[in-house]
Amino acid sequence: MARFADIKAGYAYITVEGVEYRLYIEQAGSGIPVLLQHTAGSDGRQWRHLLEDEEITRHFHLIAYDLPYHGKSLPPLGERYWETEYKLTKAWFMSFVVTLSHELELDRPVFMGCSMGGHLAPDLALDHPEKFRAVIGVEAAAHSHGGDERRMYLWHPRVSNEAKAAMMHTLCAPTAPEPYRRETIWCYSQGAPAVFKGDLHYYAVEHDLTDTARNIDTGKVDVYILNGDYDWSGTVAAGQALAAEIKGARWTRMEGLGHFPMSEDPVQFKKYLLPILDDIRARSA
Amino acid sequence: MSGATDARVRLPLEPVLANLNRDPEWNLAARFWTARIEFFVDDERCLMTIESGRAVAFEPAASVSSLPMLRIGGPSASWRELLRPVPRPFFQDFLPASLHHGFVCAGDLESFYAYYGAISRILVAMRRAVADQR
Repeated sequence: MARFADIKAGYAYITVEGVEYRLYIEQAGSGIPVLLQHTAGSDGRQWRHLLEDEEITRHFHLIAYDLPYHGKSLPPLGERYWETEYKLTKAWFMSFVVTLSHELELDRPVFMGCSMGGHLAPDLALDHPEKFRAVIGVEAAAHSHGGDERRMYLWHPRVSNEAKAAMMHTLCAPTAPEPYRRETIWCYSQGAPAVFKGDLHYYAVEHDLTDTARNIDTGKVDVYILNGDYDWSGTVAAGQALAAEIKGARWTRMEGLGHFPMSEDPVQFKKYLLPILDDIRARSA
Repeated sequence: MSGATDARVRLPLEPVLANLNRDPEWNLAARFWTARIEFFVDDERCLMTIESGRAVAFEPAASVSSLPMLRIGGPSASWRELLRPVPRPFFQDFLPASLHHGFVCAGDLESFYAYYGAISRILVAMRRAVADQR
């Protein structure tokens, strides 16, 4: 008989800013709710190792979703998206996560995101501190401006989706297990062509906490920042600098990890994540 | 490649070519590609010729006259880091080395990005050739 993962999967209909979305969600565990935001151009499969880790699901209710236009969350039926260039905006992104948390009736969940999700973590801490007990920004930075020319080739008729996978491979640590690195970049080869570049509109253009990170109140929401050595985008230096701007934030350098720690090297990532989750549990007691 | 840390890095041309064409991933990633790539170490230039997805030549650039489609290279010190079996952060591939360590990736950027998967395999072939020399 087949072995089933202990994951509940399904679709939820939620309305954000007047548009209804059919959202694919995977959930596992019980306890403190944790919303898991994937990286730009990928989907919630990146969190699969955490969702099947009993050491984590014993105390935490993990919720991994595919953002609309990503993975199994289709574009909304009510939008003529084929006539508009897809662009993820900071306002919509924050509104989406806050609405999702409300519609799922979560009690001040933890928000953990990587890359663009990592950037969203401190953005949420700044704008919605009362709605989250903690945010965990994996590969977060105050901003990721630049790379305009490179972004152009991420949505180009003569550059295929396998180029995105190849480029994302350069963000992985060379020491990460190859099957997991390959799985991570496989997901990048599967996104709709415009989506990765569109997500980077938030990541590389709109997200900027340079002047406002210092206003984040860790008395209201705990802030954790983690960065991997081999991440050439959300670098160790950038993450450390962001954390230094947020009084009370805790920063962790992930030795020998890259931009996608939860999927490229889940065993090593867990070593860095567990103390943070333990800390959140202790502070929630 | 020389083992001395201050010596000029010399790319082992023939072993790189052989490694590349034996690499099943290269054979997939380079499909349909015809290109000339100049790899330079300090002021020493080598030209790789790719025809319909097969690397057909890798030779000192002085012996050929065609203009390259792409130029990839940098100083010996950067190559030495790139060619390590486990490179230091941002030397794991040509792209991060160009973003953080001043390595050069120039020319037809559309081809560079479209065939980045194949270009990465060239670095893998180089690392293997250098490791075999040790």
